[in-house]
Amino acid sequence: MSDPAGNAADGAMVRPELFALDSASRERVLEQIAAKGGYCESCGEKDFDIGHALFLGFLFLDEDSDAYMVALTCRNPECAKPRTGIVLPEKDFLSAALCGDGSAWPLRARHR
Amino acid sequence: MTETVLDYPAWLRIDHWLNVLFLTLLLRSGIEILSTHPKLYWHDDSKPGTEWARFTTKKMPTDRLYDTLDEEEDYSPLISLPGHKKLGMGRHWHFIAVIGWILVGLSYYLLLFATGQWHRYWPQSWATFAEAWNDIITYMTFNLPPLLPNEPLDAIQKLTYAGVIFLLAPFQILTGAAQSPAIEARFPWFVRLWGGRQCARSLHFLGLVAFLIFIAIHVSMVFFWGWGQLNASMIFGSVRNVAWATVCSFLIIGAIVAIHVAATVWSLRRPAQVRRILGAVITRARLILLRPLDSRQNYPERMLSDEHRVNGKPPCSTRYKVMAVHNFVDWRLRVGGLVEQPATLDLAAIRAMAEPEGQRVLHNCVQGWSSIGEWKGIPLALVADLVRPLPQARFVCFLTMQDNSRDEPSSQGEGQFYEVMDLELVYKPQTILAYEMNGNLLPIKHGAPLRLRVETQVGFKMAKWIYQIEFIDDLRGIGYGLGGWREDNIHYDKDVEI
Amino acid sequence: MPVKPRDALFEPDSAGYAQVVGHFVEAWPENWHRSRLFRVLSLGGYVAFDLPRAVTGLGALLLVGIAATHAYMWASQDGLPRYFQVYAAVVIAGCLLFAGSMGFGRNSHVAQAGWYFGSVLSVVILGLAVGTRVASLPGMTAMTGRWDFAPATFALAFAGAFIGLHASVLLGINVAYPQRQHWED
Repeated sequence: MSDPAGNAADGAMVRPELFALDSASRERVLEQIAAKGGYCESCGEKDFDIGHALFLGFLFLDEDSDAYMVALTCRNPECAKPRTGIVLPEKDFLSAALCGDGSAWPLRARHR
Repeated sequence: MTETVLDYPAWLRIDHWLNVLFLTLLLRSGIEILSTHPKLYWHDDSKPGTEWARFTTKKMPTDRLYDTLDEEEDYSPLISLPGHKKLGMGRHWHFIAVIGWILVGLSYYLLLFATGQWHRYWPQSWATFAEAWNDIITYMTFNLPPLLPNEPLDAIQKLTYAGVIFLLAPFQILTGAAQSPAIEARFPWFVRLWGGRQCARSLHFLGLVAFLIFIAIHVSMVFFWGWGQLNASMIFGSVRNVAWATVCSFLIIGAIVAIHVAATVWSLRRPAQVRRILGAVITRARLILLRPLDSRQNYPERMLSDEHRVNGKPPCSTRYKVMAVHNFVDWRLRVGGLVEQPATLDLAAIRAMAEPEGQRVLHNCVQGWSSIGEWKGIPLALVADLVRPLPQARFVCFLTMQDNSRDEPSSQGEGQFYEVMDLELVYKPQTILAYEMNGNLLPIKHGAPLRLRVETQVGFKMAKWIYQIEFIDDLRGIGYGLGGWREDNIHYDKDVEI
Repeated sequence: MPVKPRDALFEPDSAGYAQVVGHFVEAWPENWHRSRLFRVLSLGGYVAFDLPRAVTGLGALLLVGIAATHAYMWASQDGLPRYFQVYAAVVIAGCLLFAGSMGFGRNSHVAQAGWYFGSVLSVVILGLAVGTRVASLPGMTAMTGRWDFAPATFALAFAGAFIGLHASVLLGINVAYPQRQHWED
């Protein structure tokens, strides 16, 4: 099981459903945010730190089977509610390398 | 020693017909309970695909989370009491019938031995077994074998009755008891004795089959030996007024059927009323017999289930998903109500309260499946000590982020999921707020970031996705006032040691 | 929530069905699987067991039971006519052979053949058992032409039970060794 760095609220453990994105995937997420004109609801900032991803498709009935949520943290240090997320389909951001990577979180949208 | 005359005293006859009533109630309500998870396993993990029997046509998806609420079957009221996925009602009828049946059985045992009538069932010597084999051969020649001297039965009937009364009936009671979370928690060796919780459940089902076979053969025997005469014995005490005996037998059977129909209709139309009336007896018995039991479970690591089964789907709200993807940094637990000092805690504060307490325990879902898991967290008593409940606080209410209207299409009801339990359960051993499971952070499908564990209770009490805990003095003002979401909507009991 | 009816398992070209009930049956017309009679006999798909060893064991035991009743009849009566002795020998040998092949795990065709031949033999025995209750046979008046002859009733019961058991396998209610139900949820 991959052990992504950082973002652990309790310091010691990160939840097993989350996995880290490589730099290529993170770039694509930023592109998607820019393309959709995304901004922080609390302060209007458009710059975000990209965090972990969570596969939504299996656990949540209201999501498409290939949906993920990517953690976004507003870069504005004064922001009252900096933590948010964006829902993206797998093909829009995940790099191919991660798809074949055995260490990626197993709960993934798989073609059956 | 005076030889007991093996006749049909009044108590024997009354107990016989009461037995017919209670046994048939047990059978039909038992099938209702089976319908809620119509799969039987041998192993405690209840691993999907490993069942040895299935009584359903449903197939579950492989690409989506499904829970056991999706697997629930809708059986006809003809075979189940009351039918139509009403597990709450099925359980109430089953438990009230258990109480009635055990009381009848106890009176029967006591009187059998006090009057010497036990000789009618207990074989005098090994010769009875040889005689029983001869009787079977005789039946296979389509003839009736001779009765045993001075007895109202032939040898094979005698042995069969002995088996049913002294073996099968206690067997059903004991395998039933082995499925009680409170009994399993306090006496893990007892559930191991039966091969585990699922084995006990499977054996209990085989007992049901044995009773059905017994009833089929018994009724056939009464028919072939003389319906009128035998019913005269079992109603009037001797072979007289045979025609009237036949009429009376059908009247009695009709009355029993009428009770079944009435119970079914009443349960389907007024479940809350059934729950209240039957519950008045059942809950009292539960609290007296089972509430004092404390959990002492410590299953070895090798017994942990690879895939712990799940019920209830995670909250589909954006807020929850955002919290999850940020590892619940923004999640807060509010503890308040009738307390001296309300508190708001985040996960770090909860973890800091104490070294995590771990417990490897058997989880019992109300539907009948089980799994063994390791949960780590802090004792709920610590949180109670932090906020200091006021003297008038009697219950604890757990509010969750799950909304059944939105999140659980297979549930039969709407609205926010919550559960209420008696305050005394807070202070029982192995009652914890768990934030870890099987060595990892508590998974989303198991209630992240925090869930309740109360090991003497059935699983639905152990609220998941908690965000608020309230100490209250009256549960009637919450939801529909029955002590929890499942209590309100499916009419389960609030106190579920069994 | 996808809830496929169990009938999907009985698609004649479904791998699951062929796996479960084997050859011959998959060649039956498609209409059979959708017919009312099939649904009734297979209990609507609402009852299924995954106990291949127990089912095969029981089937073998029933065939052994048939063999045992014939052996008993042969041994317990004097002066039996030749044709009965030959018949009994064939039945005993056949039952033991078919019972043995049912337990042959390495080749499911052999196992299935054991079941089919066992059923054919059981049908024959059933017919003969009933027929000889009604009609008396020369040289065997003690054993035929009467219903109160226990070994015949036993043979009848075992044969009927075997046919019923095999039918339950063909209908998908049960599975026989070496196959499994393959419930993959």
